[in-house]
Formats: sequence, structure tokens, C-alpha cells
Amino acid sequence: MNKYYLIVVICVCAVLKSSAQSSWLVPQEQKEKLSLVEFTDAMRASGKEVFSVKCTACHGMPGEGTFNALLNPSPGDPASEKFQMNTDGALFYKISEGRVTMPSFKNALSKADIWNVIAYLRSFNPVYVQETAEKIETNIAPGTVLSLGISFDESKKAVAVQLVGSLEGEKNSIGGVGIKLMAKRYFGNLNIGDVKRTNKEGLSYFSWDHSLPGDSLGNVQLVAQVDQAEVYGDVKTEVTLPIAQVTNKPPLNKDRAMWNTVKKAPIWIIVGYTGGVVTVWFFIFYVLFIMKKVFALGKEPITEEEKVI
Amino acid sequence: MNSDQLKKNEPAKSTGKNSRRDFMRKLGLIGAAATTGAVASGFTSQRTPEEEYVKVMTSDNKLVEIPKSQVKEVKLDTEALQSRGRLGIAGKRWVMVIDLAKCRNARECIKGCQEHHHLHPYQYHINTLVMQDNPQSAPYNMPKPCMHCDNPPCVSVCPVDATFKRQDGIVLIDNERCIGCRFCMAACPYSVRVFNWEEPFQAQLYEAQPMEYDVEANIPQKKGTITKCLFSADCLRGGDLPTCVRSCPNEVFYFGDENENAVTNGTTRETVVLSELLEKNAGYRLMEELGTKPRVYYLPPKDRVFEAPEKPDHHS
Ligand code: SF4
Ligand code: SF4
Repeated sequence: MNKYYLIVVICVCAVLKSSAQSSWLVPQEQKEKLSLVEFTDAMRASGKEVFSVKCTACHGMPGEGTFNALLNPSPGDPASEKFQMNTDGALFYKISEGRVTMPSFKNALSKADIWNVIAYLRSFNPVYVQETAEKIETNIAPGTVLSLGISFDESKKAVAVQLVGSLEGEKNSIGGVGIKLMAKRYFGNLNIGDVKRTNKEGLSYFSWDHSLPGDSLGNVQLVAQVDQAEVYGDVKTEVTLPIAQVTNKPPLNKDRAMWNTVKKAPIWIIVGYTGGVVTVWFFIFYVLFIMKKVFALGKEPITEEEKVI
Repeated sequence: MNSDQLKKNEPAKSTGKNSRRDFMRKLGLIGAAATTGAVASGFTSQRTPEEEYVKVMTSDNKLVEIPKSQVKEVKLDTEALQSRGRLGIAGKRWVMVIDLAKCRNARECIKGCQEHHHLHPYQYHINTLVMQDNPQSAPYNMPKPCMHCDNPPCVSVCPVDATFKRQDGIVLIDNERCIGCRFCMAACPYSVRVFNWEEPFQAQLYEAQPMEYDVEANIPQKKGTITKCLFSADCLRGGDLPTCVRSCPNEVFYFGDENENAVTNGTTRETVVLSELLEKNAGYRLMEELGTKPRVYYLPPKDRVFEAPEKPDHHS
């Protein structure tokens, strides 16, 4: 019986492996994903721009077959039939996740950018008819304005993010919505923990161990964002809290051995060097002085009895 | 930054013909309106209703507000560019991480770099080499920029202080000072420096439209002087990743600030924790034993996503 299972497992693995190599499996739910809005010329134009910056290096110009054929798996021409067979959702998934030679554009491009690229690519497909998604149902009453608040909870040792909805002047906490917390870094935002769902009070907690480096005062800029922007809209907030590690490292050109100019040289080098030069010259002059003395002595007349032969 | 140079950058001391620029310096405005993208959105302040304020990013990356009437566009001259180029960006320690497992020798970094710094096609600030550590292992591609050593031998040997280290860790060259002795080329253990033997690639362009010398980009290039990788110091000032990092289509480069313990991938723009990345992947630096303390880290070419390149000749 065990043997039988083993054989089945091996067969399944083999099938999965070979199919994973030849085709790119997209989860069913992702495949069915659709754009919420209809593609417009403006979207296509901005998609074209994004494509020319990010994609042409490998995919070439759509319709011209100028893709990089040396790559494995082949990037393919986006205008080709095989490429256009992908559903909108599958294209979205592939652009956003990437695999092997295809980079993941999850962080490099916004969701809107990815949809724009898809809109652009679809313009090479004459038979394409777009389907748009139904508005997704949420448990939040329509017209509610969502807002986020970030604070540090000392007792829980966690950053608390609260989601509040206001409708006709009335404020309600909103639960069950995924929240992302990020710290601002110089070139991008660093995710802190995973996406957390808000509880009944509209709160989600991100544990905090104070190890994240902040500025010289220990300040850190935090950004909280609703995860599913396509459902809830782009709800975002930023706050600076003094809860990070104080970073006060000296500049990198301080205390370093770069003594190529006098003004950078440490005092002991200057004293040592000058001392050395003075000593050497002193010695030279001393020798010269002695030689002069010998010379002068040689000039003195010598009496007959002092002569030794 | 040593104290002498700091003083030189202070405005109070000089008066007279430089006063306009010094006034802007006082506000920390050198380079603000002209290059770092001032936000002239007509921000209105509550304090004085008749006076309009604008938000401006200073050269040391602080956001300040000044009355709109005081804003004058400063054209950066060579001198101003040189003094801010020497200063660097306070509180930063730039660091690069190169993931060798992902490099398939697309050479996009090289193309971007040569364009940025007006280099001849045979001049490389960054180059990709085919490496093979021993006859048994497979070759891999290795991009090699300047390591921006924390203990740079090239800086120590320069007799005229033309090449220097900044507070943010970048090693730059001032082509206006360089006498072309090439001591630094001999001193660099990583062979990253290139000499301008010929007239620069864009010499005609320079003639047609003269440009101010920018020490942070080494342009215009100058015949008879040295040039090398600059970590795109001019881009960093504006919050952009270096050109090579942005040009790579294969997620090879990470760049960031060691003080923030975070690096951002140039392709995916994903920001990760630097110390974790290096620990988990056994990051290493080139020729550690020389004590040059490079600011560029490599991740070993394990689990390569590309087929190995051809074996280099000397191993066949
Ligand atoms: S790699 Fe060479 S040129 Fe760059 S800082 Fe080090 S010694 Fe100087
Ligand atoms: S070539 Fe220029 S930068 Fe290099 S050591 Fe000589 S003067 Fe300094």
C-alpha cells in the first residue's frame, strides 16, 4: 500500500514539474480577476509608456517579434496569439508575481500601472472584447468615508492602526479589513509584518520591538494603507513616531586613514614627520660642521716636534 | 567631513560678490529650486495672509518653507556643485548588494551607466565579468562597480586631494583638480578606475552647449583625467536609485542606506532588511583581506536562475 502511494506521489510530482516548466500556472481565482473599469485611450497611452521603460528590454516592441529569444523561458511577443490567450487576470498575476527571468512588478508598478500595461497590450488584439468586474460587495455602507489612524500602544508593545468610517457625521469602527503597515525608507517602503485584519473595534496591531533604525532622534515615518485598494479605495495615512532606534553613526570620512593632505593628517603624523626631517637635517649639518672643523684644523701650522711620521 | 571643509561651506564668513549665493546657502537653498525639484505649488501660510510661502527641498534634503518673494532660481555653478559634492548627504551610508544568482549578463547596467556619464563604449564604470572560482564549479557573471571602500587606497595616494571620500561613503573624483598622475589607478585593488586617454565621447555636444561641471556625475568628462563609478551621486540627491540599479531587468541590484538597515531592489522596488538579506544569503565582500572595507556586498551565485555562461578561456 505504501509503495502504491509513493508511486502516485512521484507521478503527480513529475506531471506538476513538467507542466510547470512548459506553462505558467495561474491560480483559478486570479485568472478570473477583471479590471473594474473599462480600458480607455489614456490608460493605453500610459501603459505604453510603462511598457517602453520596463518591458522592452526583454519583450521588444509588441508585434515586431523583437523579444529576446535567448531567454529561457522565452518572454515571447506580447502581440502573439499565445500571449493574448491569457485572461486579463492571468496577465495581471504574471506581471505582478513574475517567475525565473520575468521579474515581479508587485512593488515596482502600482496596480493601476499594471492594468494600463494590460490595456496597452490588448490594443494589439483585434478580437479582444473587454469584460469588466462587477463592483465587489462589501459590508460597508455606500458613501462611507474611510480614514486610518496610527498610534503606539505601550502596554501591548505594538503599533495600533485604527480604521474608522464616517457616514453623515457618524463615526463607526470598521472590522475585517486588511491593513498594511510600512516604514518609510529612502528609496521605498519597508513592510512591517504581514497584512493584518482589523478587529471589531477597527483596530489591528503590529508588534514592535524597537529594533528598526530611525533618525538621529529615533523618529520613524510610518505609513498605513488599506490592503485591497481596488475594493476600498486608496486609503492611506502617514505619521512620524519617536519609537525607532536612535541612529547616530559618525560620518564615514571621520577618523579614517586618509592622510593625503596636511589638513587631514593626524597630529602625531605631522609631529613625527616634521621631527624626522629636522633630525635628518640636523645630522647633515652636524657632519658638515665637524668636517669644517677638521678642515680648519688641517690649515693650522704644525710645529716641527709635533710632526709624527 | 572634517572641520575645515565644513567651515568652507558655511555662509557667514564670505561677503561681497558672492552674497546672493551665500544668502541662498544660508537658507540651505543651494540647488533647491534648480535641480531638486522645488514644490512651487503656491502653498499658503496662515501666519501672514498677504505673504505666500512655498515649500522647498534643501540640498541636505530638508523640507523648508520660505516666502515666495524670496525664491530666486539658483543656477548651480561649478563651485557650488563642487562644494556640495564634497559634502555629501548627511546621515547616510550608501550600500549596494549584488545578487550573483540573478545576473544573466544583460549588460543593461553598463548601457545605462555609459549613457549617464558620457563614456566611450570601451570605458566602464561598471562591467560584468565572467568568473569561475575553480575548474569544478560553473562560471557566473559578476557586475563590478567601484566598491566605494571605507578605507580607500585610491584616496590615500592622490597627491592633490582630487579623489576623496564623503560622509555618506561615496568616493568621488574632482576632475577639475585631478592632474592625471594615475597613482589611484595603480592603488585600486579592484581595477575600477578608467582614464580619459581621448577627448570625451560627447566632446562635440559639450562644445555646442557648454555645461557646468558636476563632480557628482563626472560630466563633462575631461581628457587626461580619471573617472570611475560614482554610485550616481547626483541621482541619490534626488531620491532616485543609481542608474545601473534602475536599469537592471533581472533584480540583480539592491541599493540603500546602511543607517536605515534597508535596501531596495532596483527592478522590483521591493525594500528589504539589509542585515537579514546578507545573513540569510551569506553575503560577502571582495578581497576582504586587504582591509579596504568595501561598501558593495555580493550574494553568492547559488541556485542560479540562468544557465551558466561559457567557461572563461584560461580554464579550458
Ligand atoms: S574600489 Fe578602488 S577606486 Fe573604488 S574606492 Fe576602492 S580603491 Fe578606490
Ligand atoms: S589621477 Fe587624478 S585622482 Fe588619481 S591620484 Fe592622480 S590626481 Fe588623484
